[in-house]
Amino acid sequence: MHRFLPLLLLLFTACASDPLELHVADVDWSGDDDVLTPVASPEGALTPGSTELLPAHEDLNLKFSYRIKEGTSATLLLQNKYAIGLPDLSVKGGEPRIVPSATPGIWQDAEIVFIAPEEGSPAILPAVYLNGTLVYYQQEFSADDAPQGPLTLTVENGELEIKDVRKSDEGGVSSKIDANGVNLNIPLLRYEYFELSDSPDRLTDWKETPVLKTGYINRFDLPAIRERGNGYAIRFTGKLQIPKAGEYMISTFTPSYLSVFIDGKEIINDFGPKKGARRAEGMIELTEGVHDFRFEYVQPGGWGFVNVKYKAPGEKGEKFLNTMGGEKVIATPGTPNPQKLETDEYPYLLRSFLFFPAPKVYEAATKRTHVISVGEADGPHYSIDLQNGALLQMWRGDFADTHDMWVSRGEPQVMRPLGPAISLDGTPQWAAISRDGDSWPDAIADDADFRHARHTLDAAGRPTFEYTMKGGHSMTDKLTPTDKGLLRELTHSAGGSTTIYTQIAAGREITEVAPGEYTMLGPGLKLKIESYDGTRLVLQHAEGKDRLLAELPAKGHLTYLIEW
Amino acid sequence: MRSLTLIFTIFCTCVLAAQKEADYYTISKISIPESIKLEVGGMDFMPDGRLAICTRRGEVWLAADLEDQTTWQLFTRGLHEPLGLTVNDGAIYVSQRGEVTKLTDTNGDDRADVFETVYELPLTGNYHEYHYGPLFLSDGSMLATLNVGWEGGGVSRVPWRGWMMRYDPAAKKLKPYAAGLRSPAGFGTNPEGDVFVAENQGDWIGSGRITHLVEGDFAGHKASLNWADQPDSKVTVRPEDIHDDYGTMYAAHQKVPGLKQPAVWFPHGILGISTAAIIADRTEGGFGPFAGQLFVSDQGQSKIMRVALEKVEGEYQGAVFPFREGYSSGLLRLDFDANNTLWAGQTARGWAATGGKEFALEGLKWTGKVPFEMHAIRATKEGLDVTFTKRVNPVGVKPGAFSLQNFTYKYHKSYGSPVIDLEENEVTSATLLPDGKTVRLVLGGYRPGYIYEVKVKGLRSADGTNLLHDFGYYTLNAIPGGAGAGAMAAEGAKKDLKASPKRPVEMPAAWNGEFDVDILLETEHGMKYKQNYLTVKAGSKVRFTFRNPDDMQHNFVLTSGKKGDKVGQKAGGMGLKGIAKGHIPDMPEVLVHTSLVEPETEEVIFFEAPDKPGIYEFVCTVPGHYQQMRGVLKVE
Repeated sequence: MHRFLPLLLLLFTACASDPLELHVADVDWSGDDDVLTPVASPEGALTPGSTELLPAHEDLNLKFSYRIKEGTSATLLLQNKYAIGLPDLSVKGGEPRIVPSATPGIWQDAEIVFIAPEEGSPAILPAVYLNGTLVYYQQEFSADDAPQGPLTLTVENGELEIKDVRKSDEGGVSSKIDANGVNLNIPLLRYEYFELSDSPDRLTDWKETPVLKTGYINRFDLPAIRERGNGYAIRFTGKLQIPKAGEYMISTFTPSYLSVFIDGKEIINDFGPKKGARRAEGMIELTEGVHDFRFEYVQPGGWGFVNVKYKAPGEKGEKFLNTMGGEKVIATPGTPNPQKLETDEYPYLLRSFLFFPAPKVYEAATKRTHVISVGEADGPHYSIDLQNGALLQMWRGDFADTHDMWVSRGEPQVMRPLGPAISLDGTPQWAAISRDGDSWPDAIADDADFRHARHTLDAAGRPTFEYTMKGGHSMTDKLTPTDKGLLRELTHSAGGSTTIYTQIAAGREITEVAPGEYTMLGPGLKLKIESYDGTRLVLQHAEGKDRLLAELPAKGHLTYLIEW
Repeated sequence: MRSLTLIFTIFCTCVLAAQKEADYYTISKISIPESIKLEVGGMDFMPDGRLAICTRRGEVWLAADLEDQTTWQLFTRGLHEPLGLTVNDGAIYVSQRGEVTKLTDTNGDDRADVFETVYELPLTGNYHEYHYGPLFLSDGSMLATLNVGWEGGGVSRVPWRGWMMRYDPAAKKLKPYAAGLRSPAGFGTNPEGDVFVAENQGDWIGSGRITHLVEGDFAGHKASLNWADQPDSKVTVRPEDIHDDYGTMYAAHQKVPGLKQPAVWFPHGILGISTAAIIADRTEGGFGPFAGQLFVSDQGQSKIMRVALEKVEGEYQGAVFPFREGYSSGLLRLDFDANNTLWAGQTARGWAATGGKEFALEGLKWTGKVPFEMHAIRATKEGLDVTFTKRVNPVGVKPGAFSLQNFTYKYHKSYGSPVIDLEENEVTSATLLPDGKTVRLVLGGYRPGYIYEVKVKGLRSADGTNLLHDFGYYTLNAIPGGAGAGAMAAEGAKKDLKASPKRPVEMPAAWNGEFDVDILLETEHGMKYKQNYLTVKAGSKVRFTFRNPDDMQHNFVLTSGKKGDKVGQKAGGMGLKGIAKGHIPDMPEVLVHTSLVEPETEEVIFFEAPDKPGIYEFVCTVPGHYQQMRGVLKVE
């Protein structure tokens, strides 16, 4: 026995000398294609002064990441005249849906959708998101006579870094071709709303009646626009990008009346006879490029809905075009009048469904169905997916809006964070991979037998979540709020023979700044390992996705800080 | 003189309503602190006598001293819409949307500190995927039920929506037990330990009912059959076996034996609109003369019905009677305490209830007086034996004291059902049996597969009391000995209401295809009209569209003034006739009306607005609706 002792000591020393050594493995990852294109961004920190980010522009979908030093203020000028204040995305006269905040030293992801002014309509921000959370919806800019110009960023005080600038020239998601063929989408619809006079069935000259209101919307969401049940008309206009030339079919299904025009040519005219819901269709030859789309919907009496579909050249099936219908859940903007769930010093554990990832307004959304959100005082609060153990999101400020759960039947049954949430990627917390480069699972495998066994509360009421997994593993997860974020302790409390890994975080970029200390971008976080008795830290690196993993032996644990 | 008239009126009222339910069973209401939204989802008594209650907002409260100075302890909060709670073995079990959870307080501070997932269920995120239970059986296993999702019709997109499930804690195994459920909000056992589940009217479900379930049964709603061929399923019925062509459930059962017939149908609108809790009277007489029978609560009509079962040809069937109404909200849960008080946990959010309150907790006590009631109805080879709670005065026993008719419901995908195949039964003879309490009725037109309405007139007990309730409904699935041809087809189905002068579905020719005004009236979830104030010019020609996006049937009845209550009450008292006539009473106060409009459909009628300016109330006359569901048409 004694003769092995030096060897054991040597081994121990070897491990103990560098427990936080990072093993980097390149992996494949296919990211989400959001049809934005990269834009060269200024290198290094910007100090007071102006920088041109883009030349003169019109409509814009702009994404970028930014990071400030304490005391920094800056202004992003769209068309060199429409101002968005940084770091907190302030718009003069704007009413944010959540109170944005940006901690110095932490990367923030902003997405700004901008519609340039046209004759008779002002510049508008259809949507502004901070770290995926909707901050403004259909926020108009007040008009002024200043000349239009490029997109500029002016730093007034302090230092600001900006990177990963990406853009498209559309105020929303445009058409694309992917594995499913041609996917058409009109990035943004402008609507004009009319109310009809006493004998709407005669449909005399509603087009000469005054426009009662106008606005922008992403889908043909009639209930969101109409102000009475019937006796109204809506004209939608938008720019339809055709990515593949050929003969397209457009079809409609409605109990009301409608016309569809492309490039001014009426391809569907369905003005009766009005006998229940019915289908109408029209064909048109379209060249590749942008076409004017106009859709006029008239609901004289009764009730109404509309589905609009298209069939692309050479394809068999029809797909929905900017329609609320279909099997997918479409995320609506949520209520402007939240039902605020009050917190106290004893943590509130709230189970709910959750739109995750944080939905884009009027885009297809997915619901996580076994989510628990933990809130205490002003936070940080967090949500966990009990079906895969993932830490989904974290936020400060007010806790939860239960409007969509507890008003009437509560049909969406989703909670919405009342603060600017930071979301991780929602993939499983634990997996039994064996090599550094083994791909991390997107979802729990059917045979993984991963289960949320229980959670127990400590004296302060804070939960420890316990899970089990195939192979006799049991694991725990506990999060504790700190001044700057959350302290997370993960343990592999009982284990089988196989090695298991837990993930510390995943985002667009993870950078090691010191052994056991990392900064993250997309989402912006600082990570610091406080205590770790495992043997291997792995950074799985792919283009657009880094994932930090820790191997945990049986009885092993990992404690780290998540700060933002 | 005026006060004399008043006294006289009161006197007359007393004589006419010589007895009321409250003479026998009294309701007492618990005062709930303002801060607690006690929307009861489930409740059960703890060994120390406290009542543990879970709410639809996810809280669990422990209520002590219900009789006096009630105190409230928050045991936990934030559960996901728990709709069932059971105290077992020192822990509280709740059915959340996504799992059954065992809640334990390990440090004795009356707050849960361990939340153990007993089993988890997959969900799609559809709000209608509710989960009820668990109910522990004597062998230690537990049962729970799972709603189908709602997408304009019931859907089962993930296992095991629409099923009753059985969990074996020893083996830690969740197994499918029975299928065919739609919205099985309540289930319970009879004193023999057999399991009964309550259902609400909906697609494939013609009316409310309770069904006895054993492993492998299929109770009628098709969507659940998506999973019938999965491992561990003992259900033999397959989706292709179920379609609209059979006509009735009885007829379908002859071809598809795996289709379980309801033990007792609850005629929709008369004995409930949303059956919920089922509890057996195990008080051995401590709660009155109904020991061993079942009490079934109703959410929408704020009341409790009573069921007397028997076994015929090996299967349960029986009768349902009115028992006690007048509760404050929607009765989702029932439980007896140790003193034989029957507690009703109530909620009405999203589904309005007759009582009008958003939620309530009320106790029902027996006063000790035995009401004169039909106690039970049993099938014989030639008719029905009706047993009363007291000895019957033989003078009143004659065929004319009983009026009977039978009917059934359609078995189809559409929502609900009209009453079909309605036929009157001749009462050939009525004989008082030697026990002095049972009247034997021999019936003409006696046929299995139908629901028998039994109405009693003028019969008194030997001690001179009138009946407290004079009707009941007996479900005759089988005649003892197995005789008779039953409801094989729905050919004799009553047709829908034809267009009538008061339901003008065609535009009058004299209008020359033109009208003056187009009015839309829509319903909303929760028994409401979306528009409850409409205006119209006197005498104008109205095209009136009544649209019903709700998930239950509604109608529109325009009254001749402030007559909403009068018309609503009259409609509510029509009984079976009401169902056949779309709940439209024949009275001058009804000006125009629609038919019963199915969920997610609409009806258009054409009428001229009254010539006389004023306020004209309109109501939905589906029983239990008119108090909530009303509005005014202002004629200018």
